[in-house]
Amino acid sequence: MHREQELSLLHITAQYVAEVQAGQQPRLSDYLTRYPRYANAIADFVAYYHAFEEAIPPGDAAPHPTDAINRVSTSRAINCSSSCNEGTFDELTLEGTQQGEQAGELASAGTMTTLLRTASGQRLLPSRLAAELDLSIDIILLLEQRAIAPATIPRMLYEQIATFLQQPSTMVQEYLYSLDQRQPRSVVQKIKQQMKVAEEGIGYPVPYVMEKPSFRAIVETNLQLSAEQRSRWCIVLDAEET
Amino acid sequence: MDMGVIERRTALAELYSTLPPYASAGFWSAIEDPTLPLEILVKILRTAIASGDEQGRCRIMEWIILRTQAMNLLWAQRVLQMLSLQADERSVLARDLCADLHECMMRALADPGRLFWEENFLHCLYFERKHVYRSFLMREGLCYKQSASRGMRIPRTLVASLDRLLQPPDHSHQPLDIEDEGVQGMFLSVEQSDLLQTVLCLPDKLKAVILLIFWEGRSEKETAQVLSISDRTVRNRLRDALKLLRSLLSPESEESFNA
Repeated sequence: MHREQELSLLHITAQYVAEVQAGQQPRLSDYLTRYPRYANAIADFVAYYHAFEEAIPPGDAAPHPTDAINRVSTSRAINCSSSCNEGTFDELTLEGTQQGEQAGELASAGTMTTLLRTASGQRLLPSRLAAELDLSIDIILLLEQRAIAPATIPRMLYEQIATFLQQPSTMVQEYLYSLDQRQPRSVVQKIKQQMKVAEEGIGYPVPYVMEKPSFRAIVETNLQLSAEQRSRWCIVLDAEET
Repeated sequence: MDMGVIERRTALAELYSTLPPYASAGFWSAIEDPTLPLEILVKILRTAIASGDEQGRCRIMEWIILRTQAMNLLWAQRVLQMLSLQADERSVLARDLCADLHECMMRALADPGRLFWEENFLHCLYFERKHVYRSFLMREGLCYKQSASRGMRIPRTLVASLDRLLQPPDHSHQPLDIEDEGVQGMFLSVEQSDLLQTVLCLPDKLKAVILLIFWEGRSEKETAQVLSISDRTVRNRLRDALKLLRSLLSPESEESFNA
């Protein structure tokens, strides 16, 4: 299943679960009729949810102490998530001190981790930033999530953000590009090799190159932008492209 | 995008913006607050990964596992209820399932493309658990897969039954009619509570038909309308599903629905 389809399925089934948890007793047939493209996947999830998840109390439990065996499996899980690139978990632990220093440097160097705070530490509401940049709140949230292809964002917007957050424009760019690390084919192959035999060939999404939507596509399809805002951003994009 | 989603995203973004700067003195104590939404932890984890802060990455991942392992264990125990197992074997398998789940979860969390984790952690966790559950079914030979040939190893429940015969708990003679377990499983599978678990063993295209007819009580005609297929296709899928269930629950397969 493609990443976009996976996301749509997550939204649809999350809505179903929310209705169940609100005591509304949603009907499966309504969902299958409304989303015929996902009928099989919805039926699969609904059967699974009612069989196993419904009875488990929602919400996360309090932190649970780990015993020795759990500690081993925790280390294995953490190690597995990083095995595509650098070192082992043990090596990472040994390098801990250096990395702690590195993290400290990150903090002192003021690396951006959000668009919702200015360089002076002033917190911003998404609505405030949206008003300031002449965008809608949901586009601000997409920018915050770094869910828009950074290369398609107009330079003018980078500069506006930088001015408003009192940060260098390069730092804003660094932030918006920071989750744009594409997985090379060799890495994907390595992850595939690490999958258990039982996991093969059942359509589980292996990390792959993800196509983020372009800024233009977002602006053109967004329902919360006014006609004036849309037209203004389209003019900016046209001007920068020429 | 509906307003509920935007409100939820906004609330999370605002909460995230109130955290102390990354890796500052107050940062770790703030993120180790057990009431902090897990979605925020995912975002912080991805920031740590993008910044190359390996120590931070490990610390946050470990904290996420700590926050979720109690409910994951509950889930594993629930999944294992469907198997007839000895207590020690059940405990080992529950740990195995949790370990598999944690691996899948960490892979997903480290993948910045999977944005929904930053919006609804628990729902994404349902999908990871479903995936692990399905892998487990396949390992145990309880899931239909066209491309896979049926395993010929001795079923776990059969081995467990033999153990019980050799060492009955109360030292009395309690012969088990092993072949009847499969038959009993088929009868039990008609019950509503087992129907859902049984449906999960079927290929995707057959699931919707079975659920609509046996779980939601729709007629064949209504089912055909909902799925935009013909009545004949509904009947064919129904027939195929029952045939597969019979094959999955036959004595020589892993007949373990009657735990």
